[in-house]
Amino acid sequence: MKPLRLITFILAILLLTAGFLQNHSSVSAQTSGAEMELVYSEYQGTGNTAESVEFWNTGFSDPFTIVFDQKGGPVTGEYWGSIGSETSMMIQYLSFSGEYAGVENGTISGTIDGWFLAKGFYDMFNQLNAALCQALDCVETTDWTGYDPFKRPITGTWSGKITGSGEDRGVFTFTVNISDYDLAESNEFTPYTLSGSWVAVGTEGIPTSVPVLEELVEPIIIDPPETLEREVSDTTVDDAFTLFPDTDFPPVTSAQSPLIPVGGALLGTSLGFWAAGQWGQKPMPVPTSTNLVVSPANGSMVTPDEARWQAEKLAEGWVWNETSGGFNAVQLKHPTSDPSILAKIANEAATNAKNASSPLDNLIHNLHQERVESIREMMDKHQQDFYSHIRDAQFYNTASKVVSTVKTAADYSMEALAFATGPAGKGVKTFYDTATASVDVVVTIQDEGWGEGIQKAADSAVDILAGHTGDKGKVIKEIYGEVKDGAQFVNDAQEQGLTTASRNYLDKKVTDQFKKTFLPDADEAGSMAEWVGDKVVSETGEVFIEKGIEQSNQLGEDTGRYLFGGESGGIN
Amino acid sequence: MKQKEMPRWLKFILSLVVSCVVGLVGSILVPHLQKPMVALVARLVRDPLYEPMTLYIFLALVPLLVSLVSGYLMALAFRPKVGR
Repeated sequence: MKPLRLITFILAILLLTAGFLQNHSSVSAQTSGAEMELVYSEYQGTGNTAESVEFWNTGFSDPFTIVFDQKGGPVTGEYWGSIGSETSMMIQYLSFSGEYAGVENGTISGTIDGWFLAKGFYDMFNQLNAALCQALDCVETTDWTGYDPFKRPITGTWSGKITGSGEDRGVFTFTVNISDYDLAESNEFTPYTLSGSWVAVGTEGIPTSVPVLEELVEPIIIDPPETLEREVSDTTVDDAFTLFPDTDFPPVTSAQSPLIPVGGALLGTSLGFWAAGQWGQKPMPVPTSTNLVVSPANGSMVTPDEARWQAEKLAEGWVWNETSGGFNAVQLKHPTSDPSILAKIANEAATNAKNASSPLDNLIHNLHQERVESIREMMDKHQQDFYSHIRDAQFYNTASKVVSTVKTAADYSMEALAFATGPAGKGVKTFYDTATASVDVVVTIQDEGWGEGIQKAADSAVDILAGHTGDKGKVIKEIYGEVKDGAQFVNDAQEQGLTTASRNYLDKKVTDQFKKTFLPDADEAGSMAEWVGDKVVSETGEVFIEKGIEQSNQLGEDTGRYLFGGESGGIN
Repeated sequence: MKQKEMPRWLKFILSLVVSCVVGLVGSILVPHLQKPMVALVARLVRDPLYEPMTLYIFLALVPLLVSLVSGYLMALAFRPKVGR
């Protein structure tokens, strides 16, 4: 520790010590008191003087305390005395007041005021209070206000010297202004005067006050007087006593010395500087201009340490605030670390508790399952109905295509025949067209069914054409005779598909006949059959029906051109 | 622009003066607080004859304590700033 610091601490301790010592002397001069006794030596009044003096010394000689400031000032004190028996009772109250010159000078003087209650009051008092006060031990605490008419006034003076030595004593004198108050009894009193001396006595019988801070005070001990001019004194001469017993709670005298707070301030400041490291640390480094670098935060010139620190803060995600000249904390961009084991356990427990099933959940689940099953059954039923309707729709669709195919085949044949046979074929075609137009196949189908409708359409044409002569007429008949098996064709179409059924039908029933009749080359006939089949099945049944005869005629013409070299007029 | 820091000796003197003033003010206030504090403590313990020796000691030490603590805090307040 450097000398300056050491001196500072020593100075602080010295100040505190001086402050406490100052308080020590200050406390010693605080308000205190002296215990004293009255010793009666003179009686001036009616009656025997010696007897009266003895009476007063016996009855009213208890010690009491006067209070004063050792530095001087007003003096106060009270004395309560009582004497009585079953037949006699007297109460005396003396109030001492005056001035004290101080412990150095020691002179003290003042006046005595009080009152006296004597016989005549006895009966009343005895009846009212004697039992409660246990033979007048309670005189000091009894309210005597109600007995003012019975009080006889006492006035007097006292003086002496109090220096804290064994010679402290003085004199007193007071007069009891008694009159014919108690003349009701046989005793008569006239005013009388008592005088004597007062002496300081020891602390025996005096309550010891609280030795708070005054424990630091060394009491002023005086030697007990070797001889006392009183007979009743039984004080042990060897016992030390305190002349100035404490009479009141002491003030907080330590605060009266300014050295104490000053010393405390010095000590506290020194300790603070020491704790703050201002005395133990190296001087703060002063950056020189040559060591400055550019700040990564705002571009200003800062020390390398400052720049490094700023770079670290920026890397951590902090944002530089130019206004405040510091960094603003923002949420770090770095991912946080994994939760601790306890946190994981807690999260898992919370999740399990959250997902735990309850009886109510099971009930809801069962009800839900029942509803789902019911809906599923309904869906299955509707699905079955749907498939049924789908099959019906496919059947009707296929059937309509078959009709179209049959009709198309007939139309195609008619057109081919008309093209090939010249005027005779034309007649056949005309007749066929008429027959076709007159037959309402759709109505027949709707009224009597598919089989009858097809049968009717085919029969109508075949029966008309059956009367024609020649090979070609025979072919026509054979062809349309086979059409009676249209119902079977419908079944094939349902089972094997429309395309396959149409191809088979045309190959077997149409192409073979044409090939046999008109074509010398079998390969060419096969190509024709494919062409016709593709032509037929490439069109939907519905569209084909709508286009009607026009398409059929075109088909027939195309077929005829293909078969007969593109020339109308037929084969001769 | 960085402000020049106060010299340490000036800090010390300032801390000392402030803490002295605080302590002296405390020494002035304490005697006036004695009776109310005694009455309060007696009321708290429900004993009118209670003689709070501890309270007396505490009150007597108040000026010392406040000056010491204020001086310490002043010294800490004048501590050079090494961080942000």
